[in-house]
Amino acid sequence: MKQQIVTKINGQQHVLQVSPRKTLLAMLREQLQLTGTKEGCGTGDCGACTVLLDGQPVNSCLVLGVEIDGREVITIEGLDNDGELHPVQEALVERGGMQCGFCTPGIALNGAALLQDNPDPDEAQIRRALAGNLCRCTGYVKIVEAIQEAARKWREKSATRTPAPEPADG
Amino acid sequence: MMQELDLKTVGSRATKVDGPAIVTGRAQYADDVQLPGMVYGRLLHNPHPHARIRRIDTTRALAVPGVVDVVTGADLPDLDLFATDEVCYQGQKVGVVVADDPDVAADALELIEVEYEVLPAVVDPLVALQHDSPPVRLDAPASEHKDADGRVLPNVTTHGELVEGDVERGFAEADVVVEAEYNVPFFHQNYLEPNASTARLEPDGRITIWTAAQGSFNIRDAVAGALRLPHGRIRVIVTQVGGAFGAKNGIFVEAHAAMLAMRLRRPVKITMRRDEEFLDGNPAPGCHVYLKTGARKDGTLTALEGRIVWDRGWLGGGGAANRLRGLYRIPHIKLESYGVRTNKPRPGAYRAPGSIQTAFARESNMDLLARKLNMDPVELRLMNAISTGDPSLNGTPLEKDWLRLTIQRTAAAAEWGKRKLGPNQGIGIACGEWTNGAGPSNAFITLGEDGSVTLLTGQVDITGLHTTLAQIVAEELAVDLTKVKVTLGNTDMVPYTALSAGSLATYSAGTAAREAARRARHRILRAAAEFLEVDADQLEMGAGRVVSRSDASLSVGLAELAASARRSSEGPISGQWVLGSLPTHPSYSVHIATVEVDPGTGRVRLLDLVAGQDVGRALNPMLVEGQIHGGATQCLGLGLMEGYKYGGNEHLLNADLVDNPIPTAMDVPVIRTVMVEEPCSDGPYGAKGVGEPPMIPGAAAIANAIHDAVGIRVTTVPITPERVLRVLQAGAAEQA
Ligand code: FES
Ligand code: FES
Repeated sequence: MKQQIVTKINGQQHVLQVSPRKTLLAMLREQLQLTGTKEGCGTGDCGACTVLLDGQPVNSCLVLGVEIDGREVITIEGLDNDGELHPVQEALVERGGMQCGFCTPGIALNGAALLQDNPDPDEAQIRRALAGNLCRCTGYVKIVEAIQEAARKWREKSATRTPAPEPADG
Repeated sequence: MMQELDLKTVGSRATKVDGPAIVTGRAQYADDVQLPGMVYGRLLHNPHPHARIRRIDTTRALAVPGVVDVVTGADLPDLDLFATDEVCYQGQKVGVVVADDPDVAADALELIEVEYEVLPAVVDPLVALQHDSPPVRLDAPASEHKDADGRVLPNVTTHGELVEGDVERGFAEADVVVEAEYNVPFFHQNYLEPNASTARLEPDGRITIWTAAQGSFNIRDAVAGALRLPHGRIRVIVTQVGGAFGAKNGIFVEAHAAMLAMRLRRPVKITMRRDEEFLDGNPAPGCHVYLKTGARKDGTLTALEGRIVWDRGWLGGGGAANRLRGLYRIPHIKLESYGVRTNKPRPGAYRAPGSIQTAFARESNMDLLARKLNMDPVELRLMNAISTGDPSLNGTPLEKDWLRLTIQRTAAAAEWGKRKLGPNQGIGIACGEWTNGAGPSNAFITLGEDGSVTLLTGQVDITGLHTTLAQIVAEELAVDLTKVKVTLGNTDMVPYTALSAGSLATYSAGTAAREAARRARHRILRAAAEFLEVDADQLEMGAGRVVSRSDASLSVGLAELAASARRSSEGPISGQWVLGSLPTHPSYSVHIATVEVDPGTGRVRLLDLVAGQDVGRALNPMLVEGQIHGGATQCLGLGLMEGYKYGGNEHLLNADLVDNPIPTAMDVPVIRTVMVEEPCSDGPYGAKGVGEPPMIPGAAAIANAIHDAVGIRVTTVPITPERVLRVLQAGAAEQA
């Protein structure tokens, strides 16, 4: 029996019929074709499925689709600002903070959430924030560098232009 | 000295050509393929290490609403896609359910009734090696291998011996001898993207398969073999690959998806779960090594004797021993190797296959030897390292002193011998060797009428290859990097192309791209000569134009040239190169690890890792550094935390990322890279393959650093806190 939910995804209002057993991850990928959110394990261990739920990073494989009724989700497809990359996205490309890229959407969203909370994180804070996002390719070195670089860009941006862009409203 | 080439784009830190697609979530990986009318397959795996199938009943699964099909081996009498009689490892495929929703398929799986008769199993290769071991497969052809007493060894599939000189004489000449036994378990590549394949039957009866693999042609050939179809019936399109590391050289579920698509005449997707990857993937083989090394008082190696038993899973297979010698000059050698079957999945390639396991043993032994000789481990290695002119592992003489240079420069960067270490801290060094493969590969270049350049190649990009190829084309045609677009050709579009494996992709496709670009360049110059009515040798290329050397006002842009070439005598402008093979060269990696051991808990913290590598020439230093960081991290994973664990009943205990963890951002220190750029004479611009070498020496470097820190030798990876504590408590500073 499907259930109707009303939700905002990447800034767009959706009224959806969702089967109560579908995870948010499955709903995004199968029903909405938002395949940028990845499934690496399905058990909450890898972070590839990270999305922002009311601004907070969550593993979408551990959330049911019906749970987002009345709430707001940002996926990787909604992190840029009308084609202008988020500083974290930009820095990940520039600094080589990706190889195969399968972990990248989750890392970009988690990095963006980190900067929202703490615009000037030190290396240890960055590593802690990313501890739930496995990357098998990079050894994290360039990812950490990219987040540091993004933080610089982020601070410059927020100094010149307020309010801060997405992701949060809660 | 590095040859000075005047390079602009090659050698730059160009960002990945697919970076923007990846970072916005638009890159399409295997599981992102969605086709109209698609149905989903879920596989049923056998839960026992060894059993006989007594009965399978699919009636209840078939009755589930939404289930489209249930297939077992009984439905496919001519194919080997599913076990029908005997199952020889936990995870072996027994059947598949297809449904219009993946969750429905998963539900229905539970309703398939299979009755098993459990049989004795063996997962320890040393037990499997014995004459009285339970047989891993009842249906295997009789073993030809016997033990010293003439008893048949049922699970031995290969036995080899490598003898050089006279090992007894070698040990008689030795003043110091060390020996030890080492264990490496099965360990998993753990690419973050689980395998997924989608297949569709086309109107003309052909089958298209979308999958993430290291080469489309190997997948095509393997599917054709598995389904007994001619190659021409199958087209393989490789998607973006979410990590592979050797695993995705072969097929996982491609043939199953294709078989179902033909049967159902609907597109079928099969996606593996993470636990299926552990149980039914193709992890790296484990091994047990006995190794004895002898040297004179001054450190000169005289003899090496060893035995390696390769754990080859249920299908058995071989495994060489010569990498135990690796990169040192040793006159007297006797190395024996066994390949044995065990009730485990069939292992596959994992980044520098065979080198990782053997380096752990070899480089640990070198450290034990240095201690016993009271010699600096760096000195000992430098003294015995093969040098210019010496034969490398594949027999060809070494063109340069690559190994010694890499040891020296890495040691210098790590301030070897100069570092002040705290209590329970230690430093260790280890070396690795890899010789990349080469070809076949190809590159097809077309100049577009907007001045852009397209490069079509069959070489799959798993590590940034296409970015490097774009750099090469931009370099040769003197155009901006953004003008070059790289397209991966599927099996219908390009000739046979090798797997992107064995560190051969950049070496081979890079050469093809350079040669194709040089041909396109000649063609461009001829077309420009015709257009400008001057001699071609009067012309040069730069900034997207062709200009006369003597009169700068005489020039034509590439866009205009491409447009006019439609009407020229030779037609549109292109250049192509199909590569057969190339001579190759070994490349070396040296890791120096600094650790701190907590003697109370046994926990090892990696404080620092300096990773040196002989890369020939770094065509893109940012991407090469990334390879080194990633390889070193995977090796530290094996060194400290990863590996298959089996419990009672020979069952796998850790088929998930919590109990079989891989390094997180918290586990990895800053890794410092040292790139030794001494070009080789055959790779593109002197480059060597870089993907594999950084995976090799890390685990041994860590074991050696632990010995330095707390005086104990751990000879089994992963070096978990429990293992450290056990050795510490036993007070067994073996060989120290
Ligand atoms: S897929 Fe959700 S944490 Fe791995
Ligand atoms: S880039 Fe491959 S998993 Fe992170």
